[in-house]
Amino acid sequence: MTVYALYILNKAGGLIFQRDYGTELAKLSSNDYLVLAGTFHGVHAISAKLSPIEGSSGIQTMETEKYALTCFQTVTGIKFLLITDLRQQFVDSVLKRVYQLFADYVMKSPFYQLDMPIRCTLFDLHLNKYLESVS
Amino acid sequence: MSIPRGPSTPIIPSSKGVPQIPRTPSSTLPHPTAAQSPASASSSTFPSALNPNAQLTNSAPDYPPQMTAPTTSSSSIRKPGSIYERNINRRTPEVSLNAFAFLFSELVQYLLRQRKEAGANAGSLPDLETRLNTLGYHVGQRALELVTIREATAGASAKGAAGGRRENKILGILEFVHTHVWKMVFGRAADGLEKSRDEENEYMIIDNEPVVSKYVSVPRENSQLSVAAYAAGIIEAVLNGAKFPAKVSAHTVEDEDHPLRTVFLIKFDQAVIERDQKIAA
Repeated sequence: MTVYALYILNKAGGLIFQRDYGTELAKLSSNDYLVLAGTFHGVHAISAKLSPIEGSSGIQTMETEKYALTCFQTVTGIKFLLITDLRQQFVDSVLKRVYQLFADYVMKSPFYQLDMPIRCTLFDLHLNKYLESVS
Repeated sequence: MSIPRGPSTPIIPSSKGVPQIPRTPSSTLPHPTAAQSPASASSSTFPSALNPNAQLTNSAPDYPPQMTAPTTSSSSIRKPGSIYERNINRRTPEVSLNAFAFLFSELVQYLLRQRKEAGANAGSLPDLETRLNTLGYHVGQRALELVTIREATAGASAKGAAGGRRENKILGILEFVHTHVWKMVFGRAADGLEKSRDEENEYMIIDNEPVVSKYVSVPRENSQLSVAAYAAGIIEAVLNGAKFPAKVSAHTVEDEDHPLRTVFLIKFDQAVIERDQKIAA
């Protein structure tokens, strides 16, 4: 499995973290990334409302010809979006591990303010190390 | 604050144990800064954040992080008695590292908030380090009492004699801090002990990943700040309590494998050096 990119959205749909892994991705402007995140947040909410059965979770995976997007929403409403290639074995465990790293190195850092963009050197360090090991 | 860069000689090479030396407890001195400013005097009423009776468990760094069940010495279920009725030599009371990390994080945020309310300049943070140091000092005062009495009783039971020896040499007390105090407070010995080659009264204790800053990412604009000042306060209290007056400061000096590597710079009073030379002569 190749990880192309990771996005983290706060509970209001704001983009608080975005990293590209691999060189083949086209670079967008920072504003475009914010729009992308906000749009996904809206679509996710709509998809949850569309469900005939109440209490549906919203979009979990989305597949295209070239890539797959997996969304993991925590109970607190934070969304982790992982963009990978189509061989998505272990993707759930990768997201769980990213969530654990987030809980450790972001939430336990006294200098991080809730719902604000993540600037934690230790989180970056451990995330890079982990994602390198899986891809 | 100057970051120690000068050459130094290792006294204890990394990851090497030191033989156990039993000791007697000794009295503790008040923190030198506690009486000076009203700001630090008010913070001295802050309850001590760490129970000196407990050590932080650092044994399960692998994921998923699981809560370790609190360990009790007795296998049968009984009512927890008063803290004074418990065995003083219970060696492995463990504390959840996660719980400590959140508490410590709140502690730092509390100090940051206090600073902001006081309208202090957000650019410089030595004041924050002083406050962390003061808080650690209260832990160190208690930790010294406990670790010395434990060493004394353990020595007595192991050798069948009245154990307990009071350290009166600089090297002895530093080894004591490096191994025994570190083990009780942080769960393992420190990674190195060095002597400065430039300054006669400067020594360094090195920890590759201090427990207090394990999860703390200091923002780039405040890269001078080291939250390990809290641990420096613990060391300072132990040294002062053992009648080795010293100033201890923490500096992050990262290397390739250890982004959190921290040097605790210990500056002894000149009187301590003179006394040490007299004892040696």
